[in-house]
Amino acid sequence: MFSYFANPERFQNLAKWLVPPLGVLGLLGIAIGFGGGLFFTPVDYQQGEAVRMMYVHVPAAWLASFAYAFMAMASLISFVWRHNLADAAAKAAAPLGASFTFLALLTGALWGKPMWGAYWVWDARLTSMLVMLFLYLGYMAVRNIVPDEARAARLAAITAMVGAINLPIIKFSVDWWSSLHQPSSVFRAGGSAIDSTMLWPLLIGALGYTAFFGWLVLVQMQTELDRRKIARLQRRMAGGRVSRPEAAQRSLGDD
Amino acid sequence: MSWTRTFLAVLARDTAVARRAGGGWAQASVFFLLFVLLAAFAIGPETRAQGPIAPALVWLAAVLASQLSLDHLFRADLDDGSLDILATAGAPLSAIAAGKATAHWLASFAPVTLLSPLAALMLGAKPDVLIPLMVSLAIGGPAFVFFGAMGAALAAGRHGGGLLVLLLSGPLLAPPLIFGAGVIRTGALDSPDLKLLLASSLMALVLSPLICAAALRVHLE
Repeated sequence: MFSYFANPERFQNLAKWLVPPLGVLGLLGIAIGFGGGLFFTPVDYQQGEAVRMMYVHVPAAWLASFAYAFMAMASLISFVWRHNLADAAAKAAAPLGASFTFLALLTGALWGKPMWGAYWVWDARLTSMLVMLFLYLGYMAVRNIVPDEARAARLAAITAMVGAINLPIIKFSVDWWSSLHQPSSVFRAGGSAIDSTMLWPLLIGALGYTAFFGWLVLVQMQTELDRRKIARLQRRMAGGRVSRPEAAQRSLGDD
Repeated sequence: MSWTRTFLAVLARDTAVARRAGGGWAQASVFFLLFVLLAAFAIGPETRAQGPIAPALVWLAAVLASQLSLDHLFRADLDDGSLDILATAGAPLSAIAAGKATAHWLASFAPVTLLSPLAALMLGAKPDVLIPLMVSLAIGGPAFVFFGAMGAALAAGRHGGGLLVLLLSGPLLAPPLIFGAGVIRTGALDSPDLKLLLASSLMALVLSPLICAAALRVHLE
């Protein structure tokens, strides 16, 4: 299926069809998740109202890791098969993933102050998330600084793949080291540790975040493909108009 | 050319260059001692007397010293074309990268490791921390140099190199630094941190030449 849609033409057709529903699903999911979390869930018996930060924080943290995994996979595909679309996907995912990471860190800090008594602790989970933010920044820096686009794409792909080492570290940091951050409580053996009255806005919100991510990636990929097509056409036009007649005239003048 | 012969040839050449040209072998050591000197002034006499901060500062100084001239690691050879010639001669790029990184380790981290007890004592460290400090620096050194080399290879192009090297290798330096600091905090040579530090170094030794080779190939294309 992937190879079928690897054709840019077919991809553009698919994206045109997929973008509106993903956008609606994303915005609606986030609205329901936030609204449900803020107004229709009970207050936590220990955390009080601060528990509502969870509905923003947890999906953001999930998506931060998911976006990195997505970017690393797309980078692998673009590096091995030199595929244009995969490169555009990785390029689109980076700033989104960085934003989700930043959002997770920010909401975590705001929640940490009343709950832990500190905005920031140098804890394994927090530190590995911060490392991930820097990995995203490094990826974007390579793309911005290296002037030759094809070269930048390949170097950035290597960067993304190397940084993927960090993903299992983030995932298992709460199990490997005794961490202040709570261990995984939604996906675990024996079912969710969160009561269903609090779980539903979280899951709908996570679905919304994911659709939102997919929506923006697709829109950016469309723009990127159009941009590349325009650049190609401009090069061809510039080549046709300037060099050939001028070269012809010059050779005439020399004679 | 075989892998080992390329590795040894590049190692010998880069060591000779570091030894003969511009005091390259002394740069990291001088930076290291200067950092320690300035750190001693910055933390002041009261904190200096407490001791436990000293080995941590020495670790930090060593890591920074090892990253000092990393952005030149591949660039000079890329700019003057010698990397091109080696590559067309069929020399494996991973062997070149490993040789250059090892030469960099010999010129930067190895002398700094030898100087570390002196620096730690100057900063007021307790004598019983000196052995764990040196052992952890010796074991962790390859991780910093080889992870740094990865950033250097990725940023070997001519544009904005210095910033890129820091941004690319910086995040990878965090875990081994955490383990290294853990070793000197517990002061025990059988701590799990030392094993994790060794694991980081081994991983860097294996992964880094391959990734450097992939990045250099992009630059040579």
